Amino acid sequence: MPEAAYHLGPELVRAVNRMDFFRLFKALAVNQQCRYFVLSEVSGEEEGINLQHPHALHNLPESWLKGTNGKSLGADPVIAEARRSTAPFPMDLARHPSVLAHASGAKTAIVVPLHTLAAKRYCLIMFGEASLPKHEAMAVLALDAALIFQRYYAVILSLDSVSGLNEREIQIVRWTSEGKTSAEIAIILGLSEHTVNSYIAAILRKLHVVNRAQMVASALRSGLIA
Amino acid sequence: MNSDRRGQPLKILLVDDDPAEHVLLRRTLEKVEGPAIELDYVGDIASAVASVKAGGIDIVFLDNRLVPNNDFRETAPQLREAGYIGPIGIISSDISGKYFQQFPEFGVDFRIGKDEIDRTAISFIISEYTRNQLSDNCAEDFL
Amino acid sequence: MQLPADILVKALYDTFPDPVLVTDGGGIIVAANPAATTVLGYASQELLGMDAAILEVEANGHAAPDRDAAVAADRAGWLRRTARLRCKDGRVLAVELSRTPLPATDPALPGTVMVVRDLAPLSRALEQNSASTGRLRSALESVSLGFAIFDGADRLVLCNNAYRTMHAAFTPAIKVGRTFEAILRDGLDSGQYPEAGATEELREAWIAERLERHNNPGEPYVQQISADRWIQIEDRITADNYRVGLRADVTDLIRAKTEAERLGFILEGVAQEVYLVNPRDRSIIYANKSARENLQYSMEELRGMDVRKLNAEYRPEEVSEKMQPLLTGKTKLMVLDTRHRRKDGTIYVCRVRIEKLVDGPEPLLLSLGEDITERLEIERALERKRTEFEALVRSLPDLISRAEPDTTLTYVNENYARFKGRRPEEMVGRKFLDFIEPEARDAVLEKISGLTPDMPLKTMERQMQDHDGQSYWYSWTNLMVFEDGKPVELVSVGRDVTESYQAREQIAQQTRELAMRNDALEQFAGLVSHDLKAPLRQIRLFSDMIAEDVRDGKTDELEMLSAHISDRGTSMEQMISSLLEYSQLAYQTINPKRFNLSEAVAEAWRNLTVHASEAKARLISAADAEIHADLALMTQLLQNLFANSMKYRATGTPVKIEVDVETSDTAVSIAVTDNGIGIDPAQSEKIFGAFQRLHRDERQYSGSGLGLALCRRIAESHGGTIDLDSSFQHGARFVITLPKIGL
Repeated sequence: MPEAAYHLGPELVRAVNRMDFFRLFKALAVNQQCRYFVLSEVSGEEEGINLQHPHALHNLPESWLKGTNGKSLGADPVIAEARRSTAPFPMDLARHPSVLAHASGAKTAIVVPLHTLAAKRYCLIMFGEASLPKHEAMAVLALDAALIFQRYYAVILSLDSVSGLNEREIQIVRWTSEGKTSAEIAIILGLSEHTVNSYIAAILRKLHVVNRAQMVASALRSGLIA
Repeated sequence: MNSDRRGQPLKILLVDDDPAEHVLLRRTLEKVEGPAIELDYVGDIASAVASVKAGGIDIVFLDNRLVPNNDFRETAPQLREAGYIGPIGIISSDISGKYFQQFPEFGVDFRIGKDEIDRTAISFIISEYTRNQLSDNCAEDFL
Repeated sequence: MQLPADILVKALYDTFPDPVLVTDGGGIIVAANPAATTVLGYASQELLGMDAAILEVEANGHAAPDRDAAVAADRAGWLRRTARLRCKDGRVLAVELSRTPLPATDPALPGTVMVVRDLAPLSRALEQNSASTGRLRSALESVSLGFAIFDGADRLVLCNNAYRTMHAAFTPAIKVGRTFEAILRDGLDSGQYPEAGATEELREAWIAERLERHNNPGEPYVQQISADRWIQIEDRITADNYRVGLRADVTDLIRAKTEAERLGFILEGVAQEVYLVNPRDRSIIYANKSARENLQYSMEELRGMDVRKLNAEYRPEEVSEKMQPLLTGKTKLMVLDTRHRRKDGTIYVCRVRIEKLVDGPEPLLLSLGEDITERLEIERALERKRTEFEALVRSLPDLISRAEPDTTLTYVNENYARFKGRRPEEMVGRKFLDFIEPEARDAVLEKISGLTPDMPLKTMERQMQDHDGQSYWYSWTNLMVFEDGKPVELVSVGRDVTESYQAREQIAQQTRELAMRNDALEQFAGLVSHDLKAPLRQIRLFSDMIAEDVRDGKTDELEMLSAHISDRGTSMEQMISSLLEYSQLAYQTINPKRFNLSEAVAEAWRNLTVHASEAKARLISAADAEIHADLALMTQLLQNLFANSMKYRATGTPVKIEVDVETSDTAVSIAVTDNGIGIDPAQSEKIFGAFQRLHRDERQYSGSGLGLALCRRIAESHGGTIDLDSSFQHGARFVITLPKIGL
């Protein structure tokens, strides 16, 4: 795999959706000769990480994950070490074989622990062919990872604590209150149904509600729509 | 979108005036595991509009520059006007132009550089854009 | 009777100045002393035996000298009375007779001794006295002095009217015989003495003091007797213990004194030198402090000095001559600058203003002098500065003007005037806007009206034309002078910045060109990194696939994959060669020659035969015109334009390209018009940028986005231009303009 062009600068501030952050994290990993990466919240629970969580980003083939089905990821040596560490570290997979990257043939895992403002723990794990990176390379990598993650948090994760809806979101609440489905709204606004649903998901989180009826009621109460 | 068509292959439409790109994407998709994927290819936007109108397209990969149009801002809306509400991704050999930032306003769901496309990226796109983002209690039938 | 006493009496009798007559009992003169003969004029023999009564002239026709005589009863037989005696020559003498009976020691001689005192000197004195007393009285009444006499018991003996008037409030109390104290108390009660005070104690104290002064008078003193009246009191005690009071009304004096004192202080204190001079002998009467200090003389030394001696410039006669008009009353005032000599011999320049005062009792010369040495120096320095400034302003190459805030010119330097082809005096008095190009006036006015006390200075650059119509760039600095927030003067300096302006313009032009080149370079980098990279990526991916297929033993797609690789390779080759072409052109020199433009058009069209037939393109050429250019380059230019027209053809319409030529005196303009999709006017400049591609289809044509950039470079290398006619709506129209050089 050739070295991908890696432009953290302008691309970082331009990232607006999960796809963009997928691209950024992937580029970061590729830059380290890592074909696969996982970004996930690290919970205290037994399984350690949940790759199905809507906030998780990864490019592991589903088949590999199927292999972990039913088994606790918390027991994976990489995940276990990631749960214990607060500093970035590389791991030699030959000595600590990981279920996650088993099929990839990766020799090395690079783990970067990350934190949100709300003190939630995340970690970025990259699996690659390269030998263990040097100290300086780890430092730069950790910084880049932290920068991308901070941006990811600001644009995507922090919506829970952001109040106020943007213009697009208000349009969608308004159409929803008129009884339009996501598909109908997508046609009206010239968006994809996926995007409309993304907006609705974001609105639900912003308003701290769980369904459309509550969304409309809350928006009416707070005067967001009339 | 995928619930009523379970079992059916996922249908991707590539719109690119360079037939070589069709070959490249086809070969890439062959390596993506998971549900079966079908790739349709058209070389211009008019054919693309006809294609989405015909229905059955789950994801559109739209080349940024399609002669004689300048860029996606002139083409993506045409697909939306045709009533297509599935995801549209813009593919381009260079997505660093400033105007790319406006993609959400033109009904585009994501952008990706041609050199970024590999099977893991395709997998992510498929899982991301076919996933049900809203929980069951937020299903539309409550309305 | 020859007793020693007798001798003494005899001696007395002989020398006694008054006549002494001794009579017997019958009144017959028995003896007379020498004085009797002298006074009465009778010889001694004549008197002896004469009845003394004969000598007496009978008063009122009868003579009863002794019988009605006033007898001094206290001394027996002593009698003194006045009588009138007739002298031998008939004169009647008024005399006082003192008759003393002789002691009756000798009965035979019961006679008397009469001493006759001539009263004439006395009565003369008395008469005189009486007359002078009368005169004195009337004199006393007529003088303005108040005058009063109190006797030993302090009772008023007499006073004059003035005295009464001065005590008008209690005049009735002033009566002869009353004591001073009684009068004083009445006066106090009448309110005559405001100074005494209001309380009883104060008044008693005042009276006590007043009496003390009255009884033990000293120096005269002034007493205020009413709000606006002062008298001076002078009390005297005479030898016979009489008190004489003199009262002078000094009100005017007191007033005059205070004013005079004030004036005096002012005169003394002023910084100007003040002299009072007697016009008759030019002697100095007074010189104030400033004068004394500057001249270094004391008042004593100056007083009486001939004022002309102070003058170091003129001889006394000359001074007199100069002052003549003033002295004769011809002028009332004269001012002259002259030089004064100090006591130490040094000299200073003094501006003197002399005035003759005639209103006073004595005519006076009032001279006000000012040492103007410093002022002259300042004036000279100012004059020097002014001259320097004037010379500077004259020699400055800048245009300088001064104007009222309303832009009325008050000064214009030579250069400015020369620039406008006028004389400075022609411009002064007119508004400078009159000399500004009409189209620049608003901008200038706006600049000037924007001047504030906080920001009184602004600079602007503008183009100006001199009187010959030659254009220059001037940088004008306008300074508005403010006083108390109000604009008072506008000073403007214009500097010729034509050269630096042109240099700056050139730099700006170069900067713009450089920016464009940088843009082009950036685009070049973009092209290399993106457009060259894209086919390379495909080549790599296709190669990977071939390798994969070969590994997997698949052969069905190998041909297709290798065809793609080949196609990408060709596309890259074309791109690289056109880049080369472009960069070569950058260094190419043109070989101009004369040819007919139709040659180039035909050649260009021939080169595109394949494309033309593919695009069903048709050429309508009206290019029959001689031009002077590089045939190969012009062919390439046209070829690029034609290729462009075919490339951006409207779908379903056959391409129609027209070439037209227009020749003017100075230029040839060639228009190439097509019926294609046209170009957004907003892109009309951008399209000429190097590597600018409007559309992504570099695989199909060799142009690879450099076509129009090449066209521009060719036009510019001929000193010409190429532009998109953005007004043309039915396709694209490019206009090439070439200068008519060598034709």
